[in-house]
Amino acid sequence: MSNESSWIEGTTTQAPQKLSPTAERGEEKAGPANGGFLDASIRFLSTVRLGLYLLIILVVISFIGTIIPQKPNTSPENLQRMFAPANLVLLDRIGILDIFHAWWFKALLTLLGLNIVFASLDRFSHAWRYIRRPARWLTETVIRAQHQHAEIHFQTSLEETERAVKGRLRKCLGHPEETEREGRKVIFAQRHVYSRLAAYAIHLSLLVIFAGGLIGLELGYKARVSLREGESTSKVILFDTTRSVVEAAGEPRFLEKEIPFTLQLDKAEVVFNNPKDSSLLHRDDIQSPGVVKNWYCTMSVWENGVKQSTQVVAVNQPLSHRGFRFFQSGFDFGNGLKEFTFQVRLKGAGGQSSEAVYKVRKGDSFEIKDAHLVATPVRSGIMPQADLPFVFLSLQSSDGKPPLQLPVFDEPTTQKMRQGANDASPLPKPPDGMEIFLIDATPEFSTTLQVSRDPGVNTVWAGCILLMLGLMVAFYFSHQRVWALLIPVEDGTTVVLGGDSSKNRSAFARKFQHLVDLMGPQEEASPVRQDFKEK
Amino acid sequence: MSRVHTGPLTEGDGAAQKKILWPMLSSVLGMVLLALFVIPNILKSGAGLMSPGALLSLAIIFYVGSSALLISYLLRRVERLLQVAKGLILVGFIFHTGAIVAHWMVAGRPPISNIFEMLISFAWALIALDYVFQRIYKLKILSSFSVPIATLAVLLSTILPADPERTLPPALQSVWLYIHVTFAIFSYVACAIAFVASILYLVKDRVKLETFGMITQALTVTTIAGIDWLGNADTAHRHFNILLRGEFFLSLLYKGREIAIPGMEKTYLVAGLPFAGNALRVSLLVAVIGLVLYLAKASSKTLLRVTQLGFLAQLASVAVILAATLSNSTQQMIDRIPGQVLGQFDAAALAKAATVSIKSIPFIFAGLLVALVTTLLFLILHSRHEAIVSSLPDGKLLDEVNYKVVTIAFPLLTLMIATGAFWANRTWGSYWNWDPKEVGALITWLVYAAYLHMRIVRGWAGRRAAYFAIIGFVFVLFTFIGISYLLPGLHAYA
Repeated sequence: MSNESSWIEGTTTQAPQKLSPTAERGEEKAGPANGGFLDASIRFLSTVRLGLYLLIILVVISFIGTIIPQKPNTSPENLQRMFAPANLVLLDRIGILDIFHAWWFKALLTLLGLNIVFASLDRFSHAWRYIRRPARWLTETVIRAQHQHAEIHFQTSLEETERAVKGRLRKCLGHPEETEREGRKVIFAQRHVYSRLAAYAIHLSLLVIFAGGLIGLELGYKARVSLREGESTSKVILFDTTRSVVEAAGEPRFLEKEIPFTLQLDKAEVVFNNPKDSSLLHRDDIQSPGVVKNWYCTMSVWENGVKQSTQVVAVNQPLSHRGFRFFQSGFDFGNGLKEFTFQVRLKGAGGQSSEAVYKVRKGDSFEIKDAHLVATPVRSGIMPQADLPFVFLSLQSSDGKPPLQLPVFDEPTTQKMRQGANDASPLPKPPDGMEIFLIDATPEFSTTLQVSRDPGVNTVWAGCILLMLGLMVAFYFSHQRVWALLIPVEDGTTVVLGGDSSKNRSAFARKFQHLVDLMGPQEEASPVRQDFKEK
Repeated sequence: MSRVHTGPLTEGDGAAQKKILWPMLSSVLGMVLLALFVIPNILKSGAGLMSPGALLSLAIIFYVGSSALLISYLLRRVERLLQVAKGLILVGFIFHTGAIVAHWMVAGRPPISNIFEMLISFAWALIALDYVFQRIYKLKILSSFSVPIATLAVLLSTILPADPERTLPPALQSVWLYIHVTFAIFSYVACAIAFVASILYLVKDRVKLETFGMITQALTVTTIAGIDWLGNADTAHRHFNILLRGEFFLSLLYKGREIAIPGMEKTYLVAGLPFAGNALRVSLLVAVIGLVLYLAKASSKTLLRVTQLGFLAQLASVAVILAATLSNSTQQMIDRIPGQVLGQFDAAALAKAATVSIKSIPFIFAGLLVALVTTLLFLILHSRHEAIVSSLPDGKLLDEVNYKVVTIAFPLLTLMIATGAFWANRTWGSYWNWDPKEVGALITWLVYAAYLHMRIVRGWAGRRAAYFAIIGFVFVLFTFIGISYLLPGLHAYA
């Protein structure tokens, strides 16, 4: 009944197929099984009805999966806040908390895959026939029964008419072929016959995507790796998604996996949208994620002691090596500071004062001139609550006294702390006449990279491309066929034209009309043609 | 508009003039009222006429005017109405385009990265595609639905934060964002057009008025009950406050932000909006009674009365919420905050500094507005059923439009999912994470896939296809707005 029922339609145009058993769709006759259980189940698997039910079930289940928070996307703490413990265990056991990885969900997908395979196989031979054995010759009755049909009278001989008709068919559709049977010559031309296969390409593409997903699931894995600046590793920590929620809330469990190369973090930095705010002493901005432009990690890949490559990793800019990909996922500066800038003010005995600035890297010492002191940063960090960088300086004088351990902050903080200090908790002070403040500090970053190994991903993209091509052809191209029966008459030749398209019949009707118009100035007054004009 | 004519009038002209008088008057009145509200606001904001906000407000004026005319066109098929409406749409569309361009320039990126931007782009694409479909299918009546829907979308966008200066988080700074979202917008617009064509088909196919009424009531019940369950918790995290206590809670804001309650995790200060709770409770109860009466197949007169009553209650609810938030009546709200919560604040300072705004409940308000408009449309359909049915285009054409549009929407949906997967794979290292938005898109895709199979293989057309397209669009809305609002995930910032 529908314009688009491509599979059913062919049967109306090709008389022999009316009798063919494949013309009727399998599911309608899925009555008593006479070929045993296997036959019956294959017949069941190839019905469109099963596909519909599977789609509906998948929709309902997926809907539940979006409403109820799922384990992989929700932290165990959040889940425990959302559900009472007893409910949580129950839901977890049923599999509702991880629907999309549950065995029965996979079973449903498998069933859908089988349905696609069998339903396509069942119908493929029918579509293939359009390509292998096109119906080039039809009887006059069948041509006249086509959705579009017309009768045109040519005042030319059979040969001349044939040439003219062929030329026009070639122009409108494609290469014309002639067949003579029962003493009647039919010229046949068709266009976009391959669009009959689009549906199968679409179904095949879905299977390809499934296959890609399966490859990734079996051979790939997800893991993470954390590195400090300068550190290197060839081990990654696997994500463990197999545990239940109750376990997951407890101590984390780590499963390590060796990768076939060594990864080193050479340098890590944060880049802000507003560069002047990038000093650590304006830490407000680091806290608000919107202001960070990106995190950049310079990573090197080593194999057998040989550096293979160096690359900057950032969000949207992963590192790829041997099918492993490393994504920026977390950034931390809780490891202390790596570079400090100190300001030292000295008040000399004569009342004149001097000021000097020292820029020091972690682990280096520096000499404070005029004070005969060697300063070494021993410990540094960021006070978590105040987001305040601090350094413990060890000040060693040349006279051999034990070194002084001095905490150093920026100037306002130092003043504030001195006011707060009292006898009960004295704040160590620098030697008389000396002030030391921190005026800049660069934190030592560590980065967490997400590791992904998925050998199936290219298969998935191939499937997606095939899917898109299939959809384009299926929706926007239709198989168009035209038959022209040439009947020699007394004063020339009569041409009976008939044609149909597998879909979009209204567009084909316009095309057919155009073809009829092209057929020339020959006088013709077929009532059928009048029909078209009214349309 | 003007009744002064020079020269003789034929009787036909007079009748036509009479028919378009009220639609024209109401359209002009609506535009003038809106202009009186909008223009002082633009001047007060000092942002200038070329700012995105000002241009959008101007677009709204013309869209509202044309929507009024187009809805009247449903009732009185006078071509003149359509011509004037077309002119107004064109002016509105120019302002709308200007607003999008201005927003784009201010933000320095295409306006498709948050719900506000998506909504104004969606409305823009809807108007543009509506024009294209007019050209192809000559379906004048389609505008009577798509333009009001676009108007509603633009109106709703004004209560969302525009935030053009927002810096995108690094994960979103990718050209794939724009590719992915553009496909999303166009596929959703196509789904919306298929939805409208399906509704029109059902009307043309003379689906019983009772069925439409029942769906309207069910929509109202679901909306208000859904709001009551999910979006209306008090400070004690109790739900169903509308139904049980007649209270509709709203966050109090300080400098545009919610006020955290000391010592309580993720709990913000909310207070009951005066009268709104009870108005909504009445709306809910009337809708429930209406639904029961529809199911019990009561007499059509009773059904009409109960629907009208429900419409008035909903209108009152929306009006009360708007009035209370616009007049910023925080004092009455603070008076009703429980003592142990209020005790933690300086009540006098709170009354002075706290504000209340519709902007803190954009989705809830949108839901109420959609239910209200749906009820209104049903009442219009009820009052002019025969006229509307006979004026609609041929059912076959509507059915064909439905299918054609789905064949456009489905590849676009596929592209949206595929580009999203590709982008996710580049950014997060896996192309599919089963996050709620992804699953929502997949569900939508599956529904339309089922539709296409049933249509192509089993020849489902007409009503069944129309119902399918409607269900598909419900899932589109759920994915587009519902999931962002209800369920956080990777897409939380979009």
